[in-house]
Amino acid sequence: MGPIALGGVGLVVVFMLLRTFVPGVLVALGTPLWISGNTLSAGVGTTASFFSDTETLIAERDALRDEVAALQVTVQTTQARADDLQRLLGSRTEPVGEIVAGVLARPPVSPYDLFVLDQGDAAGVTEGARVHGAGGVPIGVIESVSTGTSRARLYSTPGQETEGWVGDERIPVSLVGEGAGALRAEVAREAGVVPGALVYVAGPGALPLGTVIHVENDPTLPRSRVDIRPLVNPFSVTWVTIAP
Amino acid sequence: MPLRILIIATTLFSLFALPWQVTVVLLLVAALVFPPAGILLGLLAEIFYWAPGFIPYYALAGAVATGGALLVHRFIKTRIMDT
Repeated sequence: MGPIALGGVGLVVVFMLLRTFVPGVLVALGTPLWISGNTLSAGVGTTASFFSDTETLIAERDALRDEVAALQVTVQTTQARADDLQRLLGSRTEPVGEIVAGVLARPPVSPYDLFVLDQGDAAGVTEGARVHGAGGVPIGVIESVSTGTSRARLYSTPGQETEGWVGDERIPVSLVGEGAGALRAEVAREAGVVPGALVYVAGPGALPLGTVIHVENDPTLPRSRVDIRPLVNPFSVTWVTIAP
Repeated sequence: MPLRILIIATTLFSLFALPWQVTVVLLLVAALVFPPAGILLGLLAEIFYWAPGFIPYYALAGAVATGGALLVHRFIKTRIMDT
């Protein structure tokens, strides 16, 4: 093993010690990289459409020469951020004791179906707190917390079991994560679950989590397999709220 | 040498910006051009993403990539010495 490899091993050992004893430092180091990654990913789509139309290209070139256009971009960015938060929180103004957190890393960049969030211990995030997407839709639970960041395990994490209900009759089911936002469950064939039925998890009351997209009825089996699609697409979540 | 650095740097960047499936492929390529890179980048990914209860897939993929790359390198070296 050459000196570069030995140096690399040393670096990883130092990083692992940091992760164990001061986890916040490492995530703080990674934060600018995640932010650049997110910006770049969003920019790829914009760039693709940019080159697809010559007139737009010329217009954009002219606009970029103008300082006013730069200011407009800033305003648009701020507006988009405000819109995101509006979608997330609605128009309520009363304090609700929830913590708003930005998503630093989400699937498919982060493996294991987990979110890396930019709020942690310092903001009052605690392990086991519920994470909600736009409209208060539950999407996961806080798995670990450091000073300035936290990791949320999604309900759709492969193998993750969550108790919930399905349909208007609130038939109790065990929801099992399938990865990439998808879930499945098994119900008695006579229960009469149909595609389109809402699936709920416990929150304050029963909070809708997803909808049934397919029910597999095998006459030889007493139970039906139910495939569930989440109401919130985890791939496009940029902000979440954390309910302590 | 610059190509090797470019591949490793791209893999490192992909940890933060590209889907994990792409990162795994890049990890395998990085291990081929520089075998220790597989396990090192795999461990680095786990440091950022792993949470208790999960199987550390990145580290395992990195270890397999490094092991495989070392075998390939040894095989190529043997072939060169034979000819």
